[in-house]
Amino acid sequence: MVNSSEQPPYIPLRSMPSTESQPSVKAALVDDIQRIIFSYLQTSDLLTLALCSEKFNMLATPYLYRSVYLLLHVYGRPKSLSEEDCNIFDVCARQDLFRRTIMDRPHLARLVREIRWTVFATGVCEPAEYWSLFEPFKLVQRVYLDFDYEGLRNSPQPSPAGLFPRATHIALSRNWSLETALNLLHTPSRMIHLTLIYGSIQIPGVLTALAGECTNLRQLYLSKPSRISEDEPYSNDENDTAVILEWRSFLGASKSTLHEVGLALTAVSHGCMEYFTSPDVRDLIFAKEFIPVFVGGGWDNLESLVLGGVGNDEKQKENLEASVPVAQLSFRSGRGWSLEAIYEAYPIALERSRVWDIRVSLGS
Amino acid sequence: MVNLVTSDNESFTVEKAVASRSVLIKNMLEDVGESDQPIPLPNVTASVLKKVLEYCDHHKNEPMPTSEDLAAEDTRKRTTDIGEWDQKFIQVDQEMLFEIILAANYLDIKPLLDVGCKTVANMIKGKTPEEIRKLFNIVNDFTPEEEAQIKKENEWAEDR
Repeated sequence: MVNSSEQPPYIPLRSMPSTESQPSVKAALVDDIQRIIFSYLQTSDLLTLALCSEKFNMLATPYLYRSVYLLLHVYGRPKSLSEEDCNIFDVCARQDLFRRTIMDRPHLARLVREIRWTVFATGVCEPAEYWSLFEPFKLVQRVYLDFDYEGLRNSPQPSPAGLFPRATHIALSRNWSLETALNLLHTPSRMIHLTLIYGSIQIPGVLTALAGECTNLRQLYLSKPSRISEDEPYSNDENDTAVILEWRSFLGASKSTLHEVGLALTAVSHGCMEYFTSPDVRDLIFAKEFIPVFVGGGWDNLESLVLGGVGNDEKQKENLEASVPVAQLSFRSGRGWSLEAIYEAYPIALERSRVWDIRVSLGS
Repeated sequence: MVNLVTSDNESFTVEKAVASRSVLIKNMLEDVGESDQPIPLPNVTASVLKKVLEYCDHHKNEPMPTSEDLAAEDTRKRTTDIGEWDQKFIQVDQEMLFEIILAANYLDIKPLLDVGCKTVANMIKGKTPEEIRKLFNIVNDFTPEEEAQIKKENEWAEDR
């Protein structure tokens, strides 16, 4: 938690106090009231306010830097995702602008509470210094890092340990490496929310390393690609199985604290239509590996369970509903659970899980 | 019935259900129990209280927001939609709007505070800095160079 007596570390452009006087506006735009008003404004309006006067600049700037959305897929407005928003060059350019601003005025980094960022292979600076960009963000509570590069060959250096020391909500997607993931998840007991979206190269080991350490974890969202057909070629069987077993034992070990769980197996398509006619192997995985963990009881705090990629087996659903009566169950069935749906659904899950409030985070 | 006395010494007698929309007054009433003692409101003038009570009277039969409702409010996407009656109610001059917001804050009437704050947010939305300065009578104390610098350093966040 942020120390509530801490002053916003913003340093105004000029030290001379403003001499404007408009009693009603000034009186109204103090503390709580000003915060409520600003929380209803969008970035463009906050930018406008920041340009009005020195006083308004000081008021609006913490809100402009509170959440940094520089994410390839869903930056800005996750809910109205359109193709034109997914502009890789635009995101890269903004990341570069942001990096320059932070280098020039490092104190602004301390206003940031949330970062959603796509890590590119050919990033905004040399791979070796890539992660130093994030070092000033000591007070960030929520981190969503999306790793864009294909495979691991072009990846930047693994992240150093100890970045984002205050993070309680962490989401990683696509091509994160084991070392980077473990370095970012450095204090498991602090974590409240964890989202792991596995990429095409599935790396087991993260949840095994964290098992038993995440003593305060309330929300867990896991998603991985899965083969659909039993005898499908090209599937990485060894890692596939290892990740599934790892998920299963982590769920079993964390069930007493978890309030929300989401599990998704996304379809890997090789374009071979014949595999879509065979029984979906993901149903077997759910039935054999995951459903028994929930049916086994001990989910005292579970409020929501979302299963993605599970078929329409009514018996299984009834079984689950009877076993975890407190939870709100939702099934996203079969083939409709695409990779795109995951990218859309998970940041929203992250959004919904906001536990901190602007009034607290600004140190009032 | 409850008797309220404003800062300019005007007294208002209203139903308990109306006065209790204010969490401040509701708590006071619970603390003192049944009493004919007038409740002094040293931070609210008669003209503002009249307006606030009009709001409370219209909403008196609605359930009070619980702490869970308020917590859920924070997690929901924040919209600036305002109900039809509230919209008409809040069509007042700027001075009165800010007075109502301050009174709602002091009297702890969260729904009214929200209506007021949303109204101010809607006034700001989509305007240029010059329009906002005019609206709120703000003096621009930036030099053109400073303005350019602020634009530049916040360019990464610009809406497209």
